[in-house]
Amino acid sequence: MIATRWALWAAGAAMIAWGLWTAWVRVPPDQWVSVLLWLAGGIVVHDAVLAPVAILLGLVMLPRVPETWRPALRGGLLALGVLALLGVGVFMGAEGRRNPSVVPQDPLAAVLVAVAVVVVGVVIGGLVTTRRRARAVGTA
Amino acid sequence: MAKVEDETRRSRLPRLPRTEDFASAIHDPRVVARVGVLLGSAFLLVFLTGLYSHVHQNPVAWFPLGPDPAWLYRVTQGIHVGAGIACVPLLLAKLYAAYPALFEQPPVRGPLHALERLSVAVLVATATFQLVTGVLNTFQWYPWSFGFVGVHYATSWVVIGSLLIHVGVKLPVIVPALRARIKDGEIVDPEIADESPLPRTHISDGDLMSIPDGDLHPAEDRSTTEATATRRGFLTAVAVTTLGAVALTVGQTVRPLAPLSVLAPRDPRVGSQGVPVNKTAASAQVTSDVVGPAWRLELEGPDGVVQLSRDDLLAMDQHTADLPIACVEGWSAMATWQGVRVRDLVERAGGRVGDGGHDVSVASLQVGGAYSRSVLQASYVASDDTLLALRLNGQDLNLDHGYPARIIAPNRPGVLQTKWVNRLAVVEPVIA
Repeated sequence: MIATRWALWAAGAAMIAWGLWTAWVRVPPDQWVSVLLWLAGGIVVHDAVLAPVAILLGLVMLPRVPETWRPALRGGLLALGVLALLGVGVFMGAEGRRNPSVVPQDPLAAVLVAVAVVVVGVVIGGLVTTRRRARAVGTA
Repeated sequence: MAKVEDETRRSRLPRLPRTEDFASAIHDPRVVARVGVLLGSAFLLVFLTGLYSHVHQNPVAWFPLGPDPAWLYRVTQGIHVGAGIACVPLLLAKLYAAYPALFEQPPVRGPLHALERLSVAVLVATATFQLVTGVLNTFQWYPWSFGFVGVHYATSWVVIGSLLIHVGVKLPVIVPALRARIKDGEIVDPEIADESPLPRTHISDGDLMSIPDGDLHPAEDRSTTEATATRRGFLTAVAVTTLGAVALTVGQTVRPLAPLSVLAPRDPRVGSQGVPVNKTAASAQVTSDVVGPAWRLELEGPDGVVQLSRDDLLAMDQHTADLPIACVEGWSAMATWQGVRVRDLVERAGGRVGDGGHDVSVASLQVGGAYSRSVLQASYVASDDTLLALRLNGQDLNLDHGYPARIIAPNRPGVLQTKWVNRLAVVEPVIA
């Protein structure tokens, strides 16, 4: 295993070095600040937004719902996270639409449909898990 | 564990949580490793298809590209964007499963541990960066002040490099975590002959321990069943969410699924003449004046330069090709194109077609932009389906689709299907 680990580290370090060199020669210096801000943004969003939100949900919400509904709710929250990103894309893409074929759908209707899909998915997931668990307990 | 609870009760002051405070069965190496395998595979797929697209736009001699099969780029780039979207829920799930590690105490235990945490920070930063900017780019929203393509390409190497380093660090945890089975309430590794229970220290990366143990050591049967249900429930929820995110977007390239694609940036059925448009004539500053009756195609080759009007081109042999236009942004749409074979134009200019044939350098009336020029390599020139197209879906090309003439060739990124062509030059192969 130690040989595999060293091979992964060496290959990883080489790829990072190539990426940094590529950035050095391809990205003009006046763009670096913007790149670094967006890179740091990922860490900030994770540490200052996502992690506290996850802790709050774990402390406040999940203990108050039946156990069989928790997986579906976690899935639903995950889906809302994805929807946040795609939703921003749909709205801003429609806002700055460069021609009528970019985000041709109505952004509000699109996001509402997606939210409805998430809600329906959580309800179905919760019901299926609850019934399956009840059956498992019944047969045990 | 009991000690921590005592301390909390005694102090009654809010404090930062610690890794061992996170009691959910999800924060477990077996979950982290499984989501990690899915996320790592998706990232690798995105990286390889991304490299394929990069080579199309920056050809190299050692990786020859050709027009066959015509659908290849459409599929690889559809996978690039589709798998990239799948990475979003997978990354969120991976971060959620592993985030108690963020609250490790003490935060840094030595230089090696600091390096390991730094590598995780680089991985989180670059992976998040790549997915967020990549998704927003497909919606053509650029709330940053750097050139997307170069930064996206450079960052991809750093993401995959730090991913490999992370896998190298965690390998002693990943391997047993993936192999572990529960037997009689104990975790066993089937690879160990007598299936004796794993000691707690077995699932550890030694000095670099920074992923939570969770309830790796199940106490009693009941809690094991519940913990297993929690873990399986989470993995199922992640899988359903990932498939759902793909299902609501992939119709931008898989036409039968277009009605489902409420969150896709494009609909392959919507656009002038039934095909989506990326660069419009207005944004390329191509007006009807410059493409009026006075427009001429300048065709330069060994026999000299000829000027051809659109009527001259229409008088040549017309060919029809059903080819997709496949955008780097992940959408694609099939269309029927009609026009003159580029090989016929090369022969008319006195050039060679076939093995050792000439390339064709294409220039557009488009003002500015990196894609106003392109090169058709000899392998593409030789194809019967590589056209200087004049008509689209049974009508004359409209201005946004490149009137009076545009390039369309099989297995080629949309940005290289140059529109508003005004000059073709038969040249010696650019990449020997």
